[in-house]
Amino acid sequence: MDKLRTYRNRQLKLGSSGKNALASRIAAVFLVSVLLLSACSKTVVIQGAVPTPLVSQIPLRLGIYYSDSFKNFSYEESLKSDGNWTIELGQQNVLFFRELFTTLFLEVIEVDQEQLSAETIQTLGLDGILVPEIEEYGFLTPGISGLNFYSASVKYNLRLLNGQASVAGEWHVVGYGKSEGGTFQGGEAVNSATLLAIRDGGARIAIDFPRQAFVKAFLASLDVVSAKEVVSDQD
Amino acid sequence: MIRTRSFLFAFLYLGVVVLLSGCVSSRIEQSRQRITGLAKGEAAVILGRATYNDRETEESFTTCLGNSLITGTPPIRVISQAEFRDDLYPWFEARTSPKSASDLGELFAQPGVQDRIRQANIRYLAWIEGDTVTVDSGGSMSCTISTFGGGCFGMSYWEQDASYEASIWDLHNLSAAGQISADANGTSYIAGLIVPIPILARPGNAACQGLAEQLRQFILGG
Repeated sequence: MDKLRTYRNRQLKLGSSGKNALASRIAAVFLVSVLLLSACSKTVVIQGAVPTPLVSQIPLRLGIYYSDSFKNFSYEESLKSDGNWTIELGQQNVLFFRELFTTLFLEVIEVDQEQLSAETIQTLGLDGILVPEIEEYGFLTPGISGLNFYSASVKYNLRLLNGQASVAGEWHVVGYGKSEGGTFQGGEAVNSATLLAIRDGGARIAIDFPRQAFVKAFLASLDVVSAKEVVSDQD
Repeated sequence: MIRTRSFLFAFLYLGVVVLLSGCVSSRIEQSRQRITGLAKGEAAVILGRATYNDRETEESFTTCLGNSLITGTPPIRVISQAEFRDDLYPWFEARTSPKSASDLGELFAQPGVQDRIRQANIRYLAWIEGDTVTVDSGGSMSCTISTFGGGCFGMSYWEQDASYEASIWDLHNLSAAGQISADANGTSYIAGLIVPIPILARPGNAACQGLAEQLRQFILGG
């Protein structure tokens, strides 16, 4: 009788510990699944320093139109070897270009539409409207490139509208950046490579924008300053 | 008895440390083109040369050099790469930075550049080129884990070569002051005897320490 009681107690104990073990296993499997799934998709919000460029000012009063597609630009890609990526670079790009254009041009006003009438442009006291757009973005992981670093490139299009609201010229600029990154530092490395790509694009705009033929012609047409003077400052 | 035991422990500890650090051979060379020296308050900047090919000076190497110069004896004031590049944006980016000391005159003609460098009291720029690469590897090791335990068996090795060159520019004279090169080579091993035992050679670190010491003497004019 005593033996039977002991056996039942043991059964009861085993039963409760068995349930606990099962619950722990389910919890562990759930946790591992969540971790694995989150490891497969990465969202990188690009953030970093916004330097003030040290360049000659171009004597232009420009309206800058940042479209919604520019302000909210994000890139999504699904990579077999590296999972799903979402890279949000619009906000950082707006911050960067605000600082760049404010320093590069004599006066800058942000406008809320690209197609302003000639009268509105004149009323605002502007020489023209500049519209930056991101045309392409791309990045490479070491898994794809076979190299030891992450790289990113951003292709911009800068469209300059004159005082009559017609296109004075367009310019395509590509910024490139790369960054070292370890196995578990992919997000950080993509952030760093993208920041360098934005910086590189910005550096080209700061130095080479006034050298473009259509910009020189635009400056000459306004007769605000000799185009030669602005360009020679930065040569 | 206690004394004997502590000696034994110390001996074992020393043995483990010696075993775990592999051998590295290094060579430092220098060529000086100008008399150098550093006045009180003057600073140096260590910049990694960025390129668009598949090799680039690691940021960890330039950080190691900067830290060694700041903390060594006598310490040298070093302005960080990121701070310098931000302050002089866009003139020291990968695509826009001067390629040789002869380009400095043109760079200093840009509005604000000379003033910014004078304000920060920067005397020397040291451009670092080079990297650490694995030149050979071999052996094999396998690890298993089971419900009864696990372990690693076998041995693998890899040989690394660190090769760096520092080109030092004097921003007072707008000219090249000299070059220092550092080469280090070492082989690391991992032996699997149930527990994996690493015996690591760190040629990158050896090159950093050697180059930093030489760079300090060069800048101070010793």
